[in-house]
Amino acid sequence: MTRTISRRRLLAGAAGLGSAALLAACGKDESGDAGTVTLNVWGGVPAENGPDALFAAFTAKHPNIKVKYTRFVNDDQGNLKLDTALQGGLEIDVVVSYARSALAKRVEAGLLTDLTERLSGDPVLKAFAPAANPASNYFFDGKAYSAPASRSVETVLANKSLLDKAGVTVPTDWTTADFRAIAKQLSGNGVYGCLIPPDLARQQLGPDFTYKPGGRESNFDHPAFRQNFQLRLDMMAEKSAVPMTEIVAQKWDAFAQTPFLTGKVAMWISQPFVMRYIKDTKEYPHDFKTVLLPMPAPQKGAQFWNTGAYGDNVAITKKSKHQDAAFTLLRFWLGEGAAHMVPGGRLPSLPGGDTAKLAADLGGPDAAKLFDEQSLVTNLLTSDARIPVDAIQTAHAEISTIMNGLNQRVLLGNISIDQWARTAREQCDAAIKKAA
Amino acid sequence: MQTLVGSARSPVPAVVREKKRRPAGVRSWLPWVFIAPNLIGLIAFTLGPMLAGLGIAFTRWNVLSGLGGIEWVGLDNFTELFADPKFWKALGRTVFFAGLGVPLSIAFGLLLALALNRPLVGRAALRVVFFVPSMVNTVAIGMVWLLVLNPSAGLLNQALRFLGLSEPPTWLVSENWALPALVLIQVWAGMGYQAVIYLAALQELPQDLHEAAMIDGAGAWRRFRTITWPSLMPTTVFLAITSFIGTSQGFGLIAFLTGGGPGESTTVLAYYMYQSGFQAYKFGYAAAIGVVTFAAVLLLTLVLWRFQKGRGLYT
Repeated sequence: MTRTISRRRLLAGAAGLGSAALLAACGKDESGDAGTVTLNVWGGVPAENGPDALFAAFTAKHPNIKVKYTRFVNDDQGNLKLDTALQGGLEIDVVVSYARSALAKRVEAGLLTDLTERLSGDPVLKAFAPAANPASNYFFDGKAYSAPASRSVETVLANKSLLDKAGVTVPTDWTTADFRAIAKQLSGNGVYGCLIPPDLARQQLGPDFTYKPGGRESNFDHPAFRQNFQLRLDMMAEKSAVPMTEIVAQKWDAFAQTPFLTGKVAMWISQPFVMRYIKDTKEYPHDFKTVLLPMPAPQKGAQFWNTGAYGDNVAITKKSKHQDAAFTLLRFWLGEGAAHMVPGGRLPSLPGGDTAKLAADLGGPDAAKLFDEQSLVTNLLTSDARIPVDAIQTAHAEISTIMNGLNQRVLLGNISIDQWARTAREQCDAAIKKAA
Repeated sequence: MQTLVGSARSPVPAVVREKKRRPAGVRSWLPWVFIAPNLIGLIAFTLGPMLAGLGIAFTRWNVLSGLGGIEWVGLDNFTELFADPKFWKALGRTVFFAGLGVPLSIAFGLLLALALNRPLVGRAALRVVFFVPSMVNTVAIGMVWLLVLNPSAGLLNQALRFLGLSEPPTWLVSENWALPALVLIQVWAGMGYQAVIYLAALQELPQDLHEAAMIDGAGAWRRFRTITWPSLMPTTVFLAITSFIGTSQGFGLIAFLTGGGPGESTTVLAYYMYQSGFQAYKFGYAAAIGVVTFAAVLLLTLVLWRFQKGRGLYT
């Protein structure tokens, strides 16, 4: 026997289901806490490394604003996941961009709210507005779409046991030549003096170092780039820096903490966010102290730029229905809430703060065992290093892609520095011309 | 009641019609219900995206700008693509990757099948062992080969040094050796599957031809060349077509092991398409690469299909 459903019964059933859904929806709205909003925040820092504490403190101060945090892995796939979620209509109110190219993509696609007015009108956050001098933020056509939550000074992290064993005392005003000599001294017996030497081009040329003035041409024929590659190739040849073949084969470009914390590399130039790996003695057991050294100067006594950056760019999405609440969170994040991110290695972007407390938070409970604590204060927390902030954004993402491939080729010895400079100029100039 | 096959004017003989006639009471839409899950999946996840991809190839679309950001540009993407040296280099690498990898994996698959078709102790276990790589996750295969091909501590280079080669290739870290190394991995991973298909075909071959040839005094090589190989031609063509399609879509191993590098030495078409679409967010351009890849594979398939016609003992 076949059973059939009449059209009338089907329609009645559908109407019943629709009514039930409508009632459920109404019930949800009515039961909601009037005036309470929930902000959806996407960031790359694991929740337990700061965000949990930050948002708990925020909600304690602003009980009517709750935060739901989603962590994405800050790599190509993770950013793609976030971007498709942003475009796909998922409710996201606040996003953190870590690479300038990722931020630029989101700005160019019109996904982020223009914060220029809000930042300019804020007594504290005006430090990140276009009119601020010196600039500490990225601007697009003179507008600010985000504000940086962290200021990351680069330092040379060194294995104190290896330094002591070699009887090395690092001068406070050391130069690149000193760095190379010390790296050579520390090398041998399966240890490399350093992972990668300092970036001489960035140190000497500072902001927008990849563009010629005006931003209409690339700058890769500048002698500073040649000098930079020559230093690295020479150090790789003498085994005082890790050869590129080893870096690529071991994937140490993505997991640079591994060779340092396993004692294969004596000096490692990096930013404070890596403190979380040093403190994670379960994942990275090690028995040496890390001492933080200032960046060596390219020439003795000459001024130079630090190779660090302002980062963790917090932005509000244009689609967010809670613009005011999101800005309240942004303000807290960069202001009084910034301290909660310090244990995870994100140092506040705004000056001030109690240095002793910052040092205690950054070093953690085992600081005395893991760090040379004085160097943490002297060379990182009270450092007056000049951090370059790039203003030119033309074809930045394309140039990054081109240069990643070319840099690898020259460091693997597949092309000469001359070929590198010629190809880099040709390809990047074409990209700039196309984008302009 | 309407029937699926046969009608008053049908040229199909009545007996055949009778056999295929649907049992009484079964509704005409019922077969559609059974195939619906598969059909919906095919339309939603294969045909639909293929057609959408074809359409997107004629647009400029940054996926971040949403559907409203789609701009019709006609053939601009194709014009740009054919003038793009990176595209031609990626195409060249794809031809090398597939042109070397597919024949090698078919050859090794056939050799393996011929060996496993003979009475051997533990034959069934060996068949399983050789087939296992075909079922293993790409990332797991990549992890194993990363260890094998490590330039300093890898098993392969240690063996080569032991054999007296003082400076063995740096494999995945070398611009010259990375693509051949990927071919090696591809061949290793694919030959078990090829062997299983060949084994099935070998077991279907009639033995009387071989016996007659043996009586006529034909040796093993002569019998292989004149009986086995032509008989296997349809299988070989099938494997060649499916392998070319698979290789032209080859992405997983490259994404995991080399990321298209060193430099751009392993950026094949599939990876260049990924870079254009999912890194640069140029979806129109990426779709154009996909359309050209599809056209090339279709052309190759048709050529192989034509090649097969009229060859082999049972075609």
